Amino acid sequence: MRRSGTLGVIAVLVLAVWAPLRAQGNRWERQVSDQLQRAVTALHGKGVGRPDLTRIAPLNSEESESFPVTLQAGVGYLISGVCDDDCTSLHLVLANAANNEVAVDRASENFPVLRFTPPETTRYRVKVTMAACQMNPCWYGVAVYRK
Amino acid sequence: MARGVRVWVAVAIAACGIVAVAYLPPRGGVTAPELRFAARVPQPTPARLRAQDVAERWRATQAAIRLLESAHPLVRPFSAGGSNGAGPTVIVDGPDSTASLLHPMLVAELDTVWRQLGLGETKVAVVVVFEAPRFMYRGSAPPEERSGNASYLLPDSADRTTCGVLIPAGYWSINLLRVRRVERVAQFREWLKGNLGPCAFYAAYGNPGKPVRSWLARRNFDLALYPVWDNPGRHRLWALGQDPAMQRWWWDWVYNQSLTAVACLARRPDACRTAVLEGVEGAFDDSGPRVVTLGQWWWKSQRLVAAERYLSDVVREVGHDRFQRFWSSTQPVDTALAAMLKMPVGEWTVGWERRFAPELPLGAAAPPSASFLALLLAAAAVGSVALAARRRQVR
Repeated sequence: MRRSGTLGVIAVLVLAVWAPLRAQGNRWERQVSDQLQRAVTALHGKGVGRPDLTRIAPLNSEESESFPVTLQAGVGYLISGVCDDDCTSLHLVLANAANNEVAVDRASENFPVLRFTPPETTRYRVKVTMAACQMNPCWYGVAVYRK
Repeated sequence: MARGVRVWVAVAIAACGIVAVAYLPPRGGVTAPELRFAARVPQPTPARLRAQDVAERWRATQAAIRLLESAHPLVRPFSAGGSNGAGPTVIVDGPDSTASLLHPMLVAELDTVWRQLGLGETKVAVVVVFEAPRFMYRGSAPPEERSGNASYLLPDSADRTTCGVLIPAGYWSINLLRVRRVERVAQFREWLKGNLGPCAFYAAYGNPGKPVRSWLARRNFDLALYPVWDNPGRHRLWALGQDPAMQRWWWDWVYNQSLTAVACLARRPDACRTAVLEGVEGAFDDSGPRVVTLGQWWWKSQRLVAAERYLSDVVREVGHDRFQRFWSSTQPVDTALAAMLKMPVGEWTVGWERRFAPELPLGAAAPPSASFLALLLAAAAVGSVALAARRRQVR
């Protein structure tokens, strides 16, 4: 009991110190965070709600990574991507469980947007590709909204 | 045998003797190595070489573990002193009493070096781990005192934003502890700068593009070991011996270099190109080693002479922006390098070597003394024949 209490205190201390450090990030991470915030504000004015999910991470040029997202059938979704000032091209792809691409934006340079209304409630994967970055790594941010 | 013939045979044998004395043992322009740098030691046995190799690997693994432990993002904020994000994070690995003494001095000096390199807040954070001197033995394991060469933990797909430098305990840290201040500041800062190695390039230019990363990884980052792009001073190749004006090569060192390195010293553009571009073949994957360690005698055998400062000199020549485009390029390395240099790689490298090394004479070349002796002998022979022919002329 005493030991678990001590571990709990340590965990709280670790989180207390680590969380603000993570939140601050560096200049490029803050850039992306600010851009996402501006996108949220702009879309909010157009009747779009708060994002269901946001993700900020660094990627090198020509690298990509995916993350899962569960989308509800019949609900319109908007998925937007932003990236830091060194990034000149960011691609977004939404793929279903069978790995078929159901929505793609590879043409919007550094502000890709996907619009999609799923026919069924299931898990999809959002694939982010850092197509061009002048100084690696480039930070990107992706937000998933319900329309 | 007639008396005249006997004289000629004796003269011929004497001439052969003179030539043998002049030419044996073989010279061919190579003088016996002068041991300026180290005492002569017997050739190590295969068992000793094997033991040295195992010990070297063991130390490299230890360095990798230390770096992975210390430079991990979760550990860094707790083990390092306050960093404002515009400089390297400094960790002193040692007892608190030692760390509290060394840490402030190292932070101050590294911040100065950071500014000298023109760095501020960087996309790739650099974590510098100093090993404080320890005096203990761990059973039969090789002692952890290493050669004084730093090891590097480079960013990869698991952690794209951290580059770690492990600087083993050595002369400078012992001296800092002894005198409790930095002596010979300029020299100390040059040493610190040199130890930042490839991490300084990562900090200044971010992670390289895949082709450049794969190329450098295959050659153990030998071209990016010495980040001195801020230093315009000319350097001298120390293998030239004590007096550069005499241009006497340390031949032991020359013969240890790769064939391409030697041919490049002889101003052959094709060899220079090959020496620089070695390692460009192969896939551009992320399978290269994340930890870069340098063997104790890495400088004794190089693919390109003075390779450690090659990319620093390129930066100084082409400027930040052009080098940035090359470093991040996704084009093949030879194309990107030639585009950045605006000339063929081999030609640029020949010009670069000309700045600090005289041309190395290669191929068969008779020494002047031997040539003079040969001419003298030939003249004597021709003269004797002419004299003999005149005496035997029938009137």
